[in-house]
Amino acid sequence: MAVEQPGSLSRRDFLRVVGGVTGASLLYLLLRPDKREFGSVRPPGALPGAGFEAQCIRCGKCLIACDQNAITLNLEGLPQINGLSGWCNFSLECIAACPSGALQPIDPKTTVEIGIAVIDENRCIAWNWPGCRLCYEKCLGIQKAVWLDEEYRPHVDESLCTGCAACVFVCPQSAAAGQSKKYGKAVSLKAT
Amino acid sequence: MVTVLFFVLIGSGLWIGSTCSLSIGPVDFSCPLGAAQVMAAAGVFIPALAAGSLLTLLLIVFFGRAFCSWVCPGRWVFNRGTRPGRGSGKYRAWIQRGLLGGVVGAAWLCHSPVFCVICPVGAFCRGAILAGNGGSFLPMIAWIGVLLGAEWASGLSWCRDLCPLGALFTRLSRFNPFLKVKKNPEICKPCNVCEKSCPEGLNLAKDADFSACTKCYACLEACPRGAIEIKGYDGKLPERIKERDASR
Repeated sequence: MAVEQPGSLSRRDFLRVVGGVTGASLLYLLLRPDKREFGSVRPPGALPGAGFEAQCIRCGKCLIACDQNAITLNLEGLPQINGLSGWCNFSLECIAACPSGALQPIDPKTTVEIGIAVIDENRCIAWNWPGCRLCYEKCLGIQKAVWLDEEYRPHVDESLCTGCAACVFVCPQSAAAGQSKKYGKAVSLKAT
Repeated sequence: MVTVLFFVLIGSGLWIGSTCSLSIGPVDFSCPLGAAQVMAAAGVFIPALAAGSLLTLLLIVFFGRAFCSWVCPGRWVFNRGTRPGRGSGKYRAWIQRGLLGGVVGAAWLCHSPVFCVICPVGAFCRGAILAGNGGSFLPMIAWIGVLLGAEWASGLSWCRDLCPLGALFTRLSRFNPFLKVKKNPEICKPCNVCEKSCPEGLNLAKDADFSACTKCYACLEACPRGAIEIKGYDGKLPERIKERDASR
């Protein structure tokens, strides 16, 4: 048995400090703000402002209820719609599933708006080369909010767009390559 | 096995939700701590959550801390470096009350259910739900790893000393009269094997308060003399007998 010197670290304490530092750095690496964080909006009926963060119990029921698979959870456990996994068809199943009232009931007859789609002209295929019009064709069956100009480049009509994320979902650009300026989804959602 | 069954039932869609809020048919259960935090954070009374919490509290009174050892996935991970006896001092009840008050107070101060965000049970459920819907399980694993590291570095046991849910269940389990472990005083010789086997560090020979018992019944298998039995109903019987003996 080594005699413990005053002021010296024991082996166990040393290992604890090393373990703590390693754990903290791992935590930072895994939970740091993601550069590829994608534009996202709250599900329909969400309380405005900080009230949503306060009242959401983070149970994930809205995610289970959504048959479109539109909702994902961020690291805080808050539900969000970013269009990478699916798009919102405003069936409002998530509102029926919410136990805490963070998603408030809304009249299904009214047009629900959860956000707005923004086209990144640097990434969009149709803006740089002729050809792609997938978002336009997708939106034709939903809101007709995407329109093409005379050069067949897509634009978003902000008065019609509801932020349903269908255009984001069909955009053929890769979501994984989102960090580069040239590639990655050319449409993303923005909260209104 | 019960944990697996619980999550299979949720995964199959027969039960909807997570441990935070669970719908079994028309009945909604909700996590009492989560509900308290959400109501404190939002500053509004939410009747649905309050009713769900009341049901859960009733379940705790009926079954004690059985959730901890039969349903909670945390028991697969935590309690690895438990030192028996440590943390079960006389201030334990106040530490537990402080934990509960701190969690609800933090939610009120931050206007957000802070513990729900870091709760390992909730994180597991959210990770499982995300993984089932094409998301990633990885942040959940990282977070539970961090908690495990903190548990190991502090030398405490998460379930016994740190988990606010465990604290709440322990405080409420005082009212639980069902399915309690009891020593048979004629057979029991205080050998302390039960204390070593117990994840909560309870000693059936010495301790009087078994509200921390998670009903895992590890002591039942560990006892070399078979001196431990399960009482189906036990409404504070020992104290009554003591009073009766004293009055004679």
